[in-house]
Amino acid sequence: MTPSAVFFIVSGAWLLSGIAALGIRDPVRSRIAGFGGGAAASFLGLVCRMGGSLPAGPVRIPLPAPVPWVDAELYIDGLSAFFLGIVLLLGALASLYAVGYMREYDGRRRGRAAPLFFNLLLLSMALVVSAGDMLTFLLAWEGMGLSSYFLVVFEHDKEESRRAGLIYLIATHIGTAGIFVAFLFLARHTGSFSFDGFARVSIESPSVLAAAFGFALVGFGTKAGMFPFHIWLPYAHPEAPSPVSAVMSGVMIKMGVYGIVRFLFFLLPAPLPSFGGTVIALGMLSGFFGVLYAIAQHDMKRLLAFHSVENIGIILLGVGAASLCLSAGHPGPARLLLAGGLFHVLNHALFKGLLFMGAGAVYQGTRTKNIERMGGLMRGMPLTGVAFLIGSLAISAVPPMNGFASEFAIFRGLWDAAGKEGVHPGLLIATMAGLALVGGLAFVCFVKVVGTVFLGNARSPAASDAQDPGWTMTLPMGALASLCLVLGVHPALALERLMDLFPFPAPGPDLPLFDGTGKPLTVSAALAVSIGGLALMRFVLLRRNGKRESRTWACGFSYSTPRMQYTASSFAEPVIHIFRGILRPRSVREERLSGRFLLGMHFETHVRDLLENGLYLPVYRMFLRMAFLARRLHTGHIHLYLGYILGTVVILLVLFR
Amino acid sequence: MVLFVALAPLLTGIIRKTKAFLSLRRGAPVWQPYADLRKLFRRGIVRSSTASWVFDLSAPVVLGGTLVLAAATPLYSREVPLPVHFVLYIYLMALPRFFQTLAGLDTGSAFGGLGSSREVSVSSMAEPALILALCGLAFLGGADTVNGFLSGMPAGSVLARPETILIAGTLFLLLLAENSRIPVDDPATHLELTMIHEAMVLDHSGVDLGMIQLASSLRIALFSALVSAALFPQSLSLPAHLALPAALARLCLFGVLIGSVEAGTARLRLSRVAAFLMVATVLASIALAIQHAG
Repeated sequence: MTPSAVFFIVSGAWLLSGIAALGIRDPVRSRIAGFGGGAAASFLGLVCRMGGSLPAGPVRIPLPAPVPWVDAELYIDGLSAFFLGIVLLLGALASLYAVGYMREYDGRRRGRAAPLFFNLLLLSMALVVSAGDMLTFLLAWEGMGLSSYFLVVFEHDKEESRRAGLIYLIATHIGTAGIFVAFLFLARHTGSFSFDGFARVSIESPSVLAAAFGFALVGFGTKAGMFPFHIWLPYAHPEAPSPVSAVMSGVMIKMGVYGIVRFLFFLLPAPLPSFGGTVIALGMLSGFFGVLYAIAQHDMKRLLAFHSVENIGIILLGVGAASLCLSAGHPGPARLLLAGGLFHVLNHALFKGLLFMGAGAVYQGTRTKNIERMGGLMRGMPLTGVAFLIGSLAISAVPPMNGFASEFAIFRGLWDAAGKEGVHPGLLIATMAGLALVGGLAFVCFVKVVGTVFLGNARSPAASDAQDPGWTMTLPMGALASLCLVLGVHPALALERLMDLFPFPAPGPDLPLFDGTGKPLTVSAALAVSIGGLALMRFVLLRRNGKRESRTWACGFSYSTPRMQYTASSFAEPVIHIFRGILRPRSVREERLSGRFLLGMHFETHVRDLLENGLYLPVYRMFLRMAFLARRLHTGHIHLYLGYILGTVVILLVLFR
Repeated sequence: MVLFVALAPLLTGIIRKTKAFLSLRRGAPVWQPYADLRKLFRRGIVRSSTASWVFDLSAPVVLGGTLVLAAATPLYSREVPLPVHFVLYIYLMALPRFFQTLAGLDTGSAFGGLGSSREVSVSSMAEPALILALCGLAFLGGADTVNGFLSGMPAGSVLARPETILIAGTLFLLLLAENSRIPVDDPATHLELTMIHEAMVLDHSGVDLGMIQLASSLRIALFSALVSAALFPQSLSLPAHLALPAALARLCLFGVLIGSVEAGTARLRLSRVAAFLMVATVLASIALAIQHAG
């Protein structure tokens, strides 16, 4: 099949199955038709994409133009194909997961609308990464924002959902506005609307270049959840149904990364060195603040959302450092850094998709998102537990998982660049130390999550009765967990292809990524042999020496209750205490006394986002005040409104004629 | 690697003997840790009924992961069975720690949770200093594998190179922090208010405890080998019949050193540990700055 045939078949199947789901009355069939059809379409696309139906060079697919005077087309090069693969892979698995998960909404009418929005989201993401001109890109971008908005407010009878939806809608439109302005700068200075045309003309004026990139960074950074534009993520991700969170966090925020990479390495032929430095700095801040706020969360999905901010930070570190090296004339480390950043895009999609799916399964099992009410789920939900543990190892960058493989590539790139002329070694070494700190804190967070959710005793009756979900939900988790392991043990599978993606001038001698030393395969084999051998030895020794079960020792107390366990909040307390200057935790403590006797006590502690209270809320209130002022212009008289239009036209004519 | 396993309990014995000697006690003989291990490996285990398979797997992962690290650390020659990049070396410490801290939470005991929580906090704060220190050594040695940069260290007196001393100092502080020694933790106490590592492994017994104790001894030996090789790089290139005694002497020296520091220092309050680790980070940064300037 030709690429264009594949494209039209897959997008047609997405649309048709979504519409069919709307029309089917029986909720079970509607789910299967909508999400199952979507999964099949994505899977077909993935097979064609991986199976080599995509020719070596870039592919052009002309589209019917939405407006007469411009040409619309899809332009799929290596970068687009990479992101397209992620959209299709996660799309297929999350759709399959949704077939089981969305059973929750079976009694309600809106359940039938979910597949349409979900498939539209997948379609618009596929279009975003393969758009070849500004107009197609912006239309697809807006479609992505709107379809995901409807999925965020899916439970619109809840106050929090509507609030999250509003925050998301505002954020996504500020982002779109930024991108729009950035494109207008490019269009004005190159006289073209297509990406080809942008790339052909190099803009001389540094101020125009900086303005275009600045607006693009705000726009794409908002979608990516980059600090300081991250505040929508922790609201929107927890409210959306879990398969949607998996796709939003695993794939949709990566569209922002796609945009930044497209701008830095393709559309702007000669970016300034300061661009790379800016991206590194913002990446560092995202990583640090993301993980720090994540540690303080009790809501499982909110915690995962903050980790998305952290991982976007790690990705941006790689991308920014690559740009910095490239402008200093070192394509070798730049190639490795960029490949590492993009590899982390793939890996984050895999493990974060997996973790959100796991969180969804846990939510359906326990009916709560508060990790303080879980515990001991490894017993009732062994499959979810193992998959979640693998995802946690991956996100904490523990070898031999894929999260480590990509961070290692970034570390190696930074280290290699630190010895080169023209880049400041101090900056790069400090970046390495920062990356290590972020990794260490992520480790704290995921020991906390796995420990309090899956291990120990159940902290609520619901948690002790929780069961593994059906195969439609466990199969995608299993697939993602296996991919995390495979790409960790053999990262060359993805990395080598990513290294070949970029049209960098004069590649020079490439870094051998794993130069015979510590090949991941060798290290993984060594780990497997030594751990397996010891486990066998333990088994044999225990057969000989004996083993008995007993209750956990509680200092001689004859009873021990689940409430005596360490809680997630106490687990995180030392780290929160160390960073109390930044996090500013607030706690409420109420004691109920009767005379001198303490009858009961209530204690709660919260950490609020500094930027949210310090920056965004005041700005929001200011806008609200301005909106109230502007309302005085709305009198309800039509002749006055026509007058406004006349006035605007006159002003525009005066200004631009 | 085999040699590390054989010598590690001896190092623990020397540390304990030194501490006992300096506090005017007689102390157990230096080979007591071997006897302890022998006893533990002959015993069965008592396992909490709350625990899951993660607990059962934890001891093999802890020891197995540490063995892989041992295979990457040079003791008496430049060659090692498994040469690894220094970033990978640091991250390889994470797998054992992940399972050890999870096992602490798995029994549902407050002690385990307390120990795990403190352990992850300390180790995450130590991470930047560790990266900086090894970056410094890698710059000095001109290679990026652990055995590579240790054998590539410039010859000549250490006293002429202040950055080496600073980095060795950093690594020594990290050795104390990462191996639960005074002033960060106290390996001898079982008082829950002060302990980290011992609280975490409180529910392990028999074979499991033996594996974990061996892994702990091994980690101190690995760190000692690393720091001492950075200070005396010549000892790695000695002829075979001298190399082994030299390595042994280095380990003994570090045993005495660690023991004396432990005997002469008081334990820090937990909230001050972060400051202790910041000292290590700053020391390593100064070392790197000197290197860059020189």
